[in-house]
Amino acid sequence: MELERIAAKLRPRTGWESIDLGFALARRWFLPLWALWWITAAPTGIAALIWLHDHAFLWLLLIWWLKPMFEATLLFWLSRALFGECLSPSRALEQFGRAFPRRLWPQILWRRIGFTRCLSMPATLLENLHGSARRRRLAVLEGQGLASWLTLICAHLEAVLWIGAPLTLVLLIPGALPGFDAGELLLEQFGPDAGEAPGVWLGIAVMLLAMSVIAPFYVAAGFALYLGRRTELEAWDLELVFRRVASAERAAPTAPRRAARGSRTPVLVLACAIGLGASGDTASADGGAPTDPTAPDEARAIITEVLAHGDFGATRTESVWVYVGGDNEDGEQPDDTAPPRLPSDWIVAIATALKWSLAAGAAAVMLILLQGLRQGRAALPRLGRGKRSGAGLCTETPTRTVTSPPQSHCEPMPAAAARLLAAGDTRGALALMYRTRIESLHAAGLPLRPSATEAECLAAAAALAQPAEHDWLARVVALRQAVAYAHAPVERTAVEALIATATTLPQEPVVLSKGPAA
Amino acid sequence: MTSPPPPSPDIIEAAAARLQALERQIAGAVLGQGQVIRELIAAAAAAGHVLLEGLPGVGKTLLVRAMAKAVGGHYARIQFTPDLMPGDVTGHAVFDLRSEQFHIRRGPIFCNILLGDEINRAPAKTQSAMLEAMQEQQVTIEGEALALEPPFLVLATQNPIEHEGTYPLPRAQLDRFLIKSVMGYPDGAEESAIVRQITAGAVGDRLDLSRVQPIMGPDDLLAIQTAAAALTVDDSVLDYAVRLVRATRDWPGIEHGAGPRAGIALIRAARGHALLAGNGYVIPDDVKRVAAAVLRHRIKPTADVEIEGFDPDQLLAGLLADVPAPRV
Repeated sequence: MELERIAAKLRPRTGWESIDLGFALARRWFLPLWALWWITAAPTGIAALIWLHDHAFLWLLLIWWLKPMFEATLLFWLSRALFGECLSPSRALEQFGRAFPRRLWPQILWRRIGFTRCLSMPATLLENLHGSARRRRLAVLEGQGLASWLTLICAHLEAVLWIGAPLTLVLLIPGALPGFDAGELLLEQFGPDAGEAPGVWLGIAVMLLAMSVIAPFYVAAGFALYLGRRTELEAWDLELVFRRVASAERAAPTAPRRAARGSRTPVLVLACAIGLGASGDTASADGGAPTDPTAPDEARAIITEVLAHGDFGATRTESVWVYVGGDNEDGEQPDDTAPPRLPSDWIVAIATALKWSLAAGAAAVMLILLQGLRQGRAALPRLGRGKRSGAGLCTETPTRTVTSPPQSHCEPMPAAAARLLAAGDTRGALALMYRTRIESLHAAGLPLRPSATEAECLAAAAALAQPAEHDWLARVVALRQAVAYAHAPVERTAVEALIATATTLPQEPVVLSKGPAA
Repeated sequence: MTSPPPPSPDIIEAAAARLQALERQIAGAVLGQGQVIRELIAAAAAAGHVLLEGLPGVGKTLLVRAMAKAVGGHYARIQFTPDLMPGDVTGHAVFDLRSEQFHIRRGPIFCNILLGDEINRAPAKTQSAMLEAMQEQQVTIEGEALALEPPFLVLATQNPIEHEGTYPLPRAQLDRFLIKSVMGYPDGAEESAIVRQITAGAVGDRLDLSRVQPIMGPDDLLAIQTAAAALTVDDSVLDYAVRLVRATRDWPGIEHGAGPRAGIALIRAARGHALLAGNGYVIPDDVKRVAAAVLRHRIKPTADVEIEGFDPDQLLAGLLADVPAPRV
């Protein structure tokens, strides 16, 4: 580790100061960090969207669950940028892809839920620690417990952005604008039909935006906590000072160096000693330590010389006032300078309960995803591999909204219409033919709303249907209107002819249900 | 009250042919206003009064005069001004010195087709003088109720700009108009055709009605109105019209929705439209085609919507796109 190249000033910091440093780093490199988050998250999101486009909340849950994966790239980039190596996104991803994937799996599996993720990720990913070594290291690093607070704060900030941004939009848009009810748009994502509500994807987009905005701050603050703790534990600031002095000493001319040796030697020795001690602790992080220019015997002599110096060994007595508390106070006084700690007992209990409940939820989600995957495979032909042939696929998916007597739930349209006609229900037979054809055109991409009238459906069908099919539909509409709206009798032969023609058209099975049709 | 029997196909065919001929006649004189012409004819077939709104020079007066000439009958015109008195519209009693008796002098409202030009320039009391005539087809002068000769159609015009010195029609009076048609600017090609047609050999700027030929008389129009009133309206279509009207009452951006009279007007206008299309029954398309014309003057947008620049037609377009059409 080349501490000389570090961009931040190294000094002992309290936890909150470290978080401040992290936020400052995030502000300085926000754009590259934000872009890197999207570059990592976008392909994953798009790939997942193919399978989960019908399950908006599952898709969001998946993205949320994979947040450590996206944040790891930010951490990797930040760990390089802090030491003067600003990587391009492609290079960062390339190096990240070589070094990190194996280390990431635990982060997105059994270590996904954790309040100290921001601090444990640098220790785990950058130092590549496992097992008991990792646990001991984290126990040393966690220190004041601010990582939990940081996680809580960032989660709340995400929630504030997620809820606040749409709410601000709603409050700014006049409530009476025609055709746009912003409040309803906002609330419908929590309703029973949330999966089909257009506002759901708007809410999800805002949530994604909130995640992407908060992630750089969260990662940078966690990383700064990690740096601050190591600076405190390993005296990086002193090491850095002594390295600079040693460097200056080596660079100075020989004569002056000798002249100055008497005064600088103690400092150099301390630098070497601390450097040696520090390098022992940091070896795992950087893989190298500064070379010691002094031999043991010479060092011993120098140390003896230093200890004999007037700065060492002298004693001095000073008297100071120490607050010992009032008469009514007893026991140990709280340390006001220490940051508040989370009440560890119940927070651990809650975290543990949350962890296992989320693990159970994750298992359930995995099952649902697998189910969705199976359904997605079934829906693949609809996504572009061609139309379903119809007769062979008797699923409940194509919903026909025909109000007719109960009948078989899977029957070709001409047969169903013929049966209705045979039962004397001419009106029902014509309605069935009309709706089935409109539904099939709608399934083929014809944009039709429930407010579309027969003429509008017919006009829209002209764009998709073949001329013969369109003529057939026009005759069905004409007869249907005469029966339904004019209450006029229709010749049975005309309907039979339409049914006969219908057999030559592409067929889809009819599933009967109640409700308004498109 | 039982419904009249539906007209025979022959009667429908003949009525539709006359209405379509009327449409062609008017369209020959007034270019680029096809939708307004259809609405006007549908309203005439439904025996409804029409409020025409448009900027100066788009052909409002020409349209009404072309209609009057093609239909025939007694045509009258009132130019509404701020000093116009109710008696100037309805008529009044004058004292005959020779007979030493009061005689009723009938005003211009006693006609078959009345053009009320710039109706919003007359004060409220003059406007309200027309209320009785429009609603009850009669005029009361000196306590004597005088029936208007059917068919009686009021075709009023108003200008949507220059509101200074005008008296906006109260909602009660607006409700008397079956439809409100908005005449916009024609497109480029149509405007060129208009200029070419009007200026070809014309001296001055007189309205050229030479292309319009009388194709029916008042009795024919009366027969058409009778046929239209007897067209079959299925319950589902009627329910659709009512749902449209009721939707205006809780639609975002509408402060006051349409009243029950709007539903009646919607079915009447839809009947006129169906007859113009040659159908002996009303379909949802007829209702939808005339819905904007019937409802646009019966709703009041909220203030913020008006500030945002939305007009009633935009509100109604959203409403029509949202209310499900009947599925039988």
